[in-house]
Amino acid sequence: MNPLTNGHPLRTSDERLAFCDRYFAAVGADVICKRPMYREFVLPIDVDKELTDRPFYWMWVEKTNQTVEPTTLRLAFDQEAKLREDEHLAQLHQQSLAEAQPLSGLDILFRKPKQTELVDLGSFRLDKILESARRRGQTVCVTPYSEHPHTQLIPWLMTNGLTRYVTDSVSETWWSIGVCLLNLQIVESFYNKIAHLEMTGTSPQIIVGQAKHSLLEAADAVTTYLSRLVEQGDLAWAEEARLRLADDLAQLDAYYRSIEADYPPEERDLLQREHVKKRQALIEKSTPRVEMEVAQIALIGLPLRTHT
Amino acid sequence: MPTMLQADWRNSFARPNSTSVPIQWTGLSLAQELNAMLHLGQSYDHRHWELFQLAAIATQANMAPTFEDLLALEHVRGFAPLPHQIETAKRVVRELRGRAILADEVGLGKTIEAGLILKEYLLRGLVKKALILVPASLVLQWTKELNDKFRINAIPQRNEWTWEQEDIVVGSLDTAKRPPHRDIVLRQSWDIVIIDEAHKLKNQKTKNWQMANQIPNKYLLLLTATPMQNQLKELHTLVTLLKPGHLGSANQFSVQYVADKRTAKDPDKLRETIADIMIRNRRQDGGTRLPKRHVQVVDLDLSAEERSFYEEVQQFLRDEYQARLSMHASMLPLLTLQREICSSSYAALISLEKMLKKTSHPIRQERLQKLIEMGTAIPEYTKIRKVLELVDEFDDKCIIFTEYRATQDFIMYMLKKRGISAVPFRGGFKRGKKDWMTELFSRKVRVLVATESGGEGINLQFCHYMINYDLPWNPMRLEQRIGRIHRLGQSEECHVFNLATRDTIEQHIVQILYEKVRMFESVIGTLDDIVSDTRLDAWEKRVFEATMTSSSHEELATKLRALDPRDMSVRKGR
Repeated sequence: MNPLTNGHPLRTSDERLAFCDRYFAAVGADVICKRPMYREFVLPIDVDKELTDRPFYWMWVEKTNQTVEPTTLRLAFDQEAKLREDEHLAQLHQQSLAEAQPLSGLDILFRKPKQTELVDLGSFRLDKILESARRRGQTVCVTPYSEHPHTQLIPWLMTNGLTRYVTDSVSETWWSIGVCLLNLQIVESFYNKIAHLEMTGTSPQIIVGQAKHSLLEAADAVTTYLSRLVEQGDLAWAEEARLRLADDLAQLDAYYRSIEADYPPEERDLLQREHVKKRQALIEKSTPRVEMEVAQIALIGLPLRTHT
Repeated sequence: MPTMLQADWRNSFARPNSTSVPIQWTGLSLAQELNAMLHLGQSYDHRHWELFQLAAIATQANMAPTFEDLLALEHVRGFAPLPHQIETAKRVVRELRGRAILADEVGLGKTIEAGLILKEYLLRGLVKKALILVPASLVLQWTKELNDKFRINAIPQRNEWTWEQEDIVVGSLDTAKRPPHRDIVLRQSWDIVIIDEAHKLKNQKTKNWQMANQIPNKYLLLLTATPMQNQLKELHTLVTLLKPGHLGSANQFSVQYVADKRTAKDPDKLRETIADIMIRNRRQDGGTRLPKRHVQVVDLDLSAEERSFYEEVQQFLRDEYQARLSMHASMLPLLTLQREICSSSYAALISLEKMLKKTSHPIRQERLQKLIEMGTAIPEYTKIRKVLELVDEFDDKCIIFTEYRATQDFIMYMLKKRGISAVPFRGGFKRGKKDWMTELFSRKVRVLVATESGGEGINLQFCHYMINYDLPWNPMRLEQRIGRIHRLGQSEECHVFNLATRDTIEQHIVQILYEKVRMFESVIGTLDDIVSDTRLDAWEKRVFEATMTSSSHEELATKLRALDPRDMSVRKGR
């Protein structure tokens, strides 16, 4: 689960459980049940809106000024936990039915035992949680926690993101670039160097107050650096893709040339349009390109000694 | 990870790269976000740092670290894709670059392969808008499978707006090609198009093919167990959808690859060229671990009455043929009758009665009347007697296939008379009725009597016996029939009985089947023993017998000359 050592996280159920524990703590959800590989969380409204896909419900709640009971998520992190907890919930249900005597017909028909949901890779809930985390963790302004406030902080701009190398398929790398606001020094893998620090929030004004270069200059430095990195990097994939595309286009063109004669002149226009369309689709699909996605931005004040 | 700590990095990039790639910036705007941080006065605490760290993990978790490793495998639910399915999906992404004919034999899970590929492109963010065209009766089944197994939010097409409003639409080609749908479908910029039962696109002149050719797409998957049914040209037609020019123009193709309609000139070369664009997994390749299938031909002798009826009908057909030839009249009724007489006398009778009603010619009327009398006078039908015998022998569920409604009705009637429970199954049934019949068959009823058109898309793995009451003239249809029971999920050996009456057209069919199967094999690889291998064995045995029993060269020569592969058949019931 340590982001420092794992390039492709959340592949195991243990990682996913730890992630969710951290996430729900950070967004202020209450844990009301904690058993092996199983949690029950009560959601604050803002989190509820992000994790459950029911915009019309919330519209109705707000329009009619309802106070609604907060949603409880019952999350099982593996199949075993799901079976165990579902059975447990079914038992509770039987008990409550027994206690609620006499039962009305409606009770029997419509009261169903509560169900847990399995949180695995690709599940709706985990997708929503990841999306929510990404949105909530876009920007931050921090400095390492210390009992004695630092007198002098070195101001840094950190940007994290993805480079997507795209042709007919895609390959992505995650990067973190730090720019020192004193001298525009660039440090790669910046996040990995500071991720272990215990941080506390601070104000952007304080960080910027220490800077000798403007944020725009620093931002510019990041983009230039990343662009150069791509240009200087291994572009064999792009070269290959380009050759392949040229081949494919040549084949397509040759085909349309060879059949043109079989068509009466009045249909050639149509044929040519078809040709152009297919050409376009091929180009769109296979042209090599790079997409730089800026995912996170942080302003960080580092005391001199932690900065190595 | 490499560290770079440089005061003057700007100068460190000395070597310019010859290739340049356009860079597109997406995600957050640095200027905007920084501005907002400075001026909106948001305060930050340690929880924001926690969320920031979680966001970093979340971004990395959704990453595609390589061009080719399948991410989709970690996202499927409730089942484990089989090795050949994974391999196929990988090859399509890595080598075929998202444009492929998936031509696995029936029952090896082409749907799963297509689902994996679609999911992969969705996860990689390369596909947003997807169009899945399947036979109308399978729309809901596909939608359900994509949702359940792959968690792909596929929506069944309901009306003309669905195409536009939904990202992932499952619909039928028949609907899509009709106005007003056609223009709407053609207007969308689909990232991927998947067409099931793509053998329906084998003719370049049809509306189906032209529609398929017009639909915009970047990635394209064509699914069919039978990429080529009758002619090599059909293969060219499919490939032209995927990669125009890959096999040259139609003319170049026929010059370069086609010896005659059914035989490839240079099978190795053709196979190699096609490997770039088509993947075909076969049961016998292993890994799929299907239990064995036993296919046997049950040769039957017509009774004297049936024989004379058959011969009379043949004579009638020949005379009619000549007459119609001179009048340029349609041959279709004759063709139908010819095929029906192979299926069952009962089916033929119905056609004869229709002809009788239509004709006003007294001599013709008389002749038809006589034929009908002959047919109705047949006391017992050989084929149905054999079927009843077989059904008794199996003492298990059994599916009987026929090409004809009339034959189907007849079989149903005879089974019921015998007290054997049976349900019919036809292509014309609505989905709900199909499901209901399948359900009845799986739970209560012993025999399912199905017509050809009812065959597609139903899975009957719980059944292990199949009788082909008549043989389709196309070997691939026979393969599809068998695939209904002999497919993934089948846990027991399957027994298939092909009924063929001796000295009738049916034997010629088997012969032609043979040739077609060879053509199919020469390009795509061997088919299972659809036409059972015992025929070849019998041939060798006859040659052996001839050499053993001949006392002179002349006698042997005569015997060998007299040998006709069409007579080569095993004794019934093996």
